[in-house]
Amino acid sequence: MPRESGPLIALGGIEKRFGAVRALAGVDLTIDAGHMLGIVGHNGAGKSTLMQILAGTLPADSGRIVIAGQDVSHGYDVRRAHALGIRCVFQELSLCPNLRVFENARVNHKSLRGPAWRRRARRLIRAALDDVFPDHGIDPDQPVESLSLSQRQMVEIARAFTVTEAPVRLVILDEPTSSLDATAAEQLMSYSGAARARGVSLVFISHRLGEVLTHVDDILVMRDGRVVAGGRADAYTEESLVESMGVVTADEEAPDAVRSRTMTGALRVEEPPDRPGGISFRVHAGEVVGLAGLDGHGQRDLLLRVFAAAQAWRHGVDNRPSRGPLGLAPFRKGKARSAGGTRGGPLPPAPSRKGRGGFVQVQGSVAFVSGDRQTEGVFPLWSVGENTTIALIRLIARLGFVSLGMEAKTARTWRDRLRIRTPSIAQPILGLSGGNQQKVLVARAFACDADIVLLADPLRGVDVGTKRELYAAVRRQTELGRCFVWYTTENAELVNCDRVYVFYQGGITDEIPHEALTEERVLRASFGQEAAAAR
Amino acid sequence: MGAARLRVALPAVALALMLAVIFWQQPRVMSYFGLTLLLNYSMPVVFAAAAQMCIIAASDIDLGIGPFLSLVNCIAATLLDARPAVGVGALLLCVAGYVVMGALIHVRSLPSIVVTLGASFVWLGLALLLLPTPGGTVPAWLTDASSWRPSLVPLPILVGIVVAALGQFLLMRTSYGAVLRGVGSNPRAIERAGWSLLAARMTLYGAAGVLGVLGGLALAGLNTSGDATVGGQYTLTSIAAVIVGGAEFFGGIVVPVGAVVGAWIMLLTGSLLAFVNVSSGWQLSAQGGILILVLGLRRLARGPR
Amino acid sequence: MATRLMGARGWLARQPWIWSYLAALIVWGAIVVVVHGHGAIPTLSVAVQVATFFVIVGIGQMLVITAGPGNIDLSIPGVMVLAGFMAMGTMNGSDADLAAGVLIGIAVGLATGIVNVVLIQVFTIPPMIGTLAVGFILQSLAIAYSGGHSQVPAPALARFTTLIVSDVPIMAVVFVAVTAVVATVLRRSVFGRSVLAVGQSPRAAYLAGLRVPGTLAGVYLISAMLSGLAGTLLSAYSGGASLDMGEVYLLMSIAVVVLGGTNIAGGQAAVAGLWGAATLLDLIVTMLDVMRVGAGLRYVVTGVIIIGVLAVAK
Repeated sequence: MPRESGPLIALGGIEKRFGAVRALAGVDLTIDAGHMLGIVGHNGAGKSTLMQILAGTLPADSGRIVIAGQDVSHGYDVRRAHALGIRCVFQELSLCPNLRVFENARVNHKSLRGPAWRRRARRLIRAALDDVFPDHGIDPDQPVESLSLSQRQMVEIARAFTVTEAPVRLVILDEPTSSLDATAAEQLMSYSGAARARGVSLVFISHRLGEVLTHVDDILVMRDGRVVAGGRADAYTEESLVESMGVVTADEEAPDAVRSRTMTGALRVEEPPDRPGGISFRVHAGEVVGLAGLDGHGQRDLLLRVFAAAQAWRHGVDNRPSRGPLGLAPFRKGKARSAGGTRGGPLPPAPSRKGRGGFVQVQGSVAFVSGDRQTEGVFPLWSVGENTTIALIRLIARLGFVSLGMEAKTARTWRDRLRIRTPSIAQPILGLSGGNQQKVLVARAFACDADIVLLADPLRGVDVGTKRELYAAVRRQTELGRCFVWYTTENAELVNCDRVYVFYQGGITDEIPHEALTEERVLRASFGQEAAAAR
Repeated sequence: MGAARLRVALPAVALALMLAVIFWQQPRVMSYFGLTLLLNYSMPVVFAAAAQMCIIAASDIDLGIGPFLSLVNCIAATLLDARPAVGVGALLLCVAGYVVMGALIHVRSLPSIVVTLGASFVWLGLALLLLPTPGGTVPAWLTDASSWRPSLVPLPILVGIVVAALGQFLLMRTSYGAVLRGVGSNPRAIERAGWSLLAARMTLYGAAGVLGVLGGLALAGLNTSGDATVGGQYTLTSIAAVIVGGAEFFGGIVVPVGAVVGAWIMLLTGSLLAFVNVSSGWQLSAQGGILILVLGLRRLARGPR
Repeated sequence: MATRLMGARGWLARQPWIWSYLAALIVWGAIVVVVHGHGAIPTLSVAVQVATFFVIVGIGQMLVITAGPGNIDLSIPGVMVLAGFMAMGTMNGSDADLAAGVLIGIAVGLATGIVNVVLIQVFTIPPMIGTLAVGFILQSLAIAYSGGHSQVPAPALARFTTLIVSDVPIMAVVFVAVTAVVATVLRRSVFGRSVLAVGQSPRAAYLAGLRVPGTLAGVYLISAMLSGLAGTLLSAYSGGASLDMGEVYLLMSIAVVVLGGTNIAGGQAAVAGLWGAATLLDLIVTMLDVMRVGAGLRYVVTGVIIIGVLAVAK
C-alpha cells in the first residue's frame, strides 16, 4: 500500500441539520493512519452524527470528506465507505439473531459465497475473534440469539475487523465498552494497539473518560455540534476534559435566573437508593426536580417506573399493603381514581414498581410528556384538540361520552395558555411545527390535572422561544402545587429545576440543589466522577 | 446450538410417537404398501408447508396457499391435459403471480394477511372458472408419477426427504439463504449491508409459488381429477405444519426439516382421528388446536415477560 | 406532512368513504342499463338488504382493524355458523323462543370473543392465528351440533329480516341506525377514542393513561358478538343455517372495511363507508349474475378489487 503523505481521514467544515436543529455546525477532523482518536462529549455534542456521516449512513449537508487522499464528498454512501475501508460498530446492534455467527459475517461480505463458503466464513470470523478477544469462547456455529449482550458486541466488533475484498483502514467504535464485560473491554483496548501497529486507524467514542485517555493517541472534545478542544491525549486529564466540555461559547444565551424554592410540599415520589450510602430519589409537591447525565443512563427508566407505579394506583390494580418509608396505611381496593381536588393532601399509597434499589412509591396521579413524539407522543391522525384532551377524556365525559363543548373549551384554554401556534384546534396535529407539536403534548399533560408531571426530554430540538414559554408555564404550574420530574439532555435547562439528580450507569451519582448548581458539577457527576465537595 | 436441535427434536419425537401408536393400532400399516397408503396425501401437504415456510421466513404469512393448490389442481385437470403448452404457461403465470404479490407487499408495505387473503379469492375464482364443477382429466404422466413405486422407499416418504433436504440445503446452507433468513429478523441490517430487500422477498415468494405448483400437481396426480375447493384446507394445515415443526411467526426462524415433519404430523393427526372414529369434520379443528397448544406451551416455557 | 389540498378535490380526499358510494352508484347504473330498467329499484333494495349482513360483521372487523396493525378477526365465519345453528335450534320455529335464540347467538359470540382475547393477551398468540384456529374449531362444533337439532327460524324473525316496505328493507334501516350509533361511539365515547388512539400508537396511548389491553379486549368481544348476531339473522333470512354460510364473510368483512375507506394500518375508521362498500360488493355480484357470469369471475373480481384498493390507497 503506497504511503499517503497526508492524514488518512480529513473532514472539513461538516454541517448537518435535522429540521431546525443544528447537529453539526462546521466540524473539522483529521485522523492519521495508525492512530486512535477518542471523541468525548455530553449529550447532543454531535459525536454519533459525525461518525454516521463518516461511515456513509448519513449524508452531510455540506463539508469536505477526504479519505486516503481522495475527495469523496459527493455521492458518499455506505458502499463507498466500505470499499474505502471504513467500518463502523454502532451502539444499536446490526446482527440477525436468528442467524449463526458465521452467517452474520457472511451478510456483511458479499464475496463469501460459492462452495465452501461456510468454511471460509467460519475461519474468517473465528480468526477475527481470536485476534481481538483471545479465549472468547464463542463458537462461530452458535446462533446469535444464544449469545449474551457482551458476546454479541464482541462478534460485531470482530466482524468490523474482518478483511475480505476491501481493506480495513478505519474502524469506528461507538460506545463499544458499555456492553462488553471487563475482560473483553481490556482485550479490545490492547488489540487496538496491535491494529494501530498494522496501520489501521480507530475512532473510539466513550463516556468512560479514564479508559479513553489511557488508550487513545489523540482526543477530540465536542459540544453542541462543534469541536471545543482537541489534541494529544497525554495533554489532558479526566478533570481537564470535563472542564473543556463546560466551555460555553459566546453566542449561547445565559439562561434566566430562577429563584430557588424550599421543599415544603407533601412527598409525592420516593425511591430508596440502589446501594448503601447511595442517594434516594424524592420529589415533593410544588417542586421541579431535574434528571441529568448522559443519555440512556437510567433516567428514562426511572420515569417509566414512576409512571407504571402511578398507573397501578389509578386503576386500583395492586392492593398489596405497603409500609414504605412513607409509613402509610394499607391500600384499599377501589375503582379508578381521578385526580384533582386532593392535591397536596394525604392520598392512599401506591404499591409500585421495583427499581434497582427498592420499590418506587408514588402518591398522586401522573402524566407523561415524551420527547420522542413520533413513537410515543403524537397521535398523527388526530387534530390538535383531540391530541390535547386525550389524557383527560374520562374527566370531560358524561355517561361515557365526551362533551364536545368541554373538549373544545379545554383545548382552546391550553392553546392560549401555552401559546400554541395554530389557526384552530381542529387543525391536524402534523400540520404544526415540531415545537408546537411538543407544546400540544405538554398541554395534554397539564390539562389532565395530574399531580406529578413526568417530562422525558420534551424540549430537545425545540426552538428557543418555545422553550422559554414552556419553562414559564412549568413555573406557573408549580405554584398550583404540581410537581415535575424533568429529564433533560441539555444541561442549560437544569437551571429551571429546584434540585437535580445526576445519573451515571443506572444509578444516581449526585444530588445538586439549585444554589449549588454548576455545569462543572453536573458534568463531573455525569462522567461518574465523585463530587469534589463531601456529601 | 441446543435450542436449534431442540426445535426439530421435539416434533420428530412426536412424529415417532404417533407412528408408534398407529402401528400398534394397525400393524398392517407397517409395510411398503401400508406406509404409501398412509402417507400418500402427505405429498401436497409437504409442498404446501414448504411454500408456507418460505413466506414465514420473511416474517409474513400466506393465507391463500390452499386455494392456490386447488387452482394448480384445476389447471392440471384441464389445460395441462388438453393443451400442455398452455397449461405449462399457466403454471408459470401462477408462479409469476406469487412473485408479483411479494413485490407488491414489499413496495407498498402492505400487510401480507390481507393481500394473501384477497389473492386466495383470486385463486379460487380462477379455479372455478376452469372447473365450475369437479371433474376434468389429469394427464396420464402426472397420475403415473404420483403412483410411482420407487424400489426401497415409499414415494411420499421419498418426496418428504427430498423436500426437506432441498429446503435444508437451499435455505440453511447456501450463502444467499442466510441473507434471505436475515430479512425476516433484521431487515435494516440486511439493507445496510447492501442487499436488496425487494429481490429477497420476490425470491422467497417465487419459491413459495414453485412449491405451491408442485403441491397442486401432486394433488392432481393423487386425485386424478380437479376440484376448485379441494385445497382450501391446506392453508391452516400448512401454517400448523411449519410452526409445529419448530418455526416462529416472526424473526425469520424456520426449520425446513421441521416443516416436513410437521406436515406428516398434521396428516397423521387426521389418520389417528379416523382410527378413533372421530369424524373428519374435526380434522381442521384438531390441527388448529394443536397449533394453539404448541404456541401456548412455548409461551409458558419462555416464562413471564 | 402532506399539504392540505384546496377546494373540492381536497374535501373529497378527506372523505374516503364517498368513493364506495360513487362506485356502488356506477355499478347499479350499469345493471340498470343491462336489464333495460326493469326492476331497477327493487334490485337496489335487495342489494342493500343483503349488504346489511356484510355491514354487521364489517362493523366488528372495522373496530378490530382500527385497533392497530396485526389485529384482525378471522373467526367471524365460524362464529356466524355456530351462532346460526344454535340460535335456530333454540328457536325451533316458535316465536316464543325468538328472544332466547337471539341471545344464544350473541352469547356464542361473547364466549368466542373471550376465548380470542385469552389466546391473544394471555398466550400472546398472534391474532390472525388465534382467531383462525378458533374459527375452525367453531365450524367443527357447528357440524356436530347441526346433526341433532332442527333448523327452523322463528317466523317473526324471518319476516323481519326479509321485510321490504315500499322498496325500503326494514332490517337495513335498523342497522343504519346501529351504524350511526357506532360512529358516535367511535368518535365521542371514551372507549371509541381509546380504540382510535391505540390504533395510532399503543405506546402513546399507554403514556396518555389509556387502558390498552382493555381496549383491545373490547374490540374483539364486540366483533365476535356482532358476528353471532349476524349469523342468527342470516340464518333467519335464509330459512335455516347452513354449514357454508359463513365462508364468504371472511374476506367480505375485510373487504367492506378496506373498500369503505378505513385505514388498514389502524387508527382511523370510515364507518359510513361500510354501507357503500357492502352495497357495492353485492351489486357487483348481482351485475355478474345478470351478465350470466359464473361464480368464479365474481371471486376473482372481488379479490382483485381488494388488492387493487390496498395497493393504491395511501
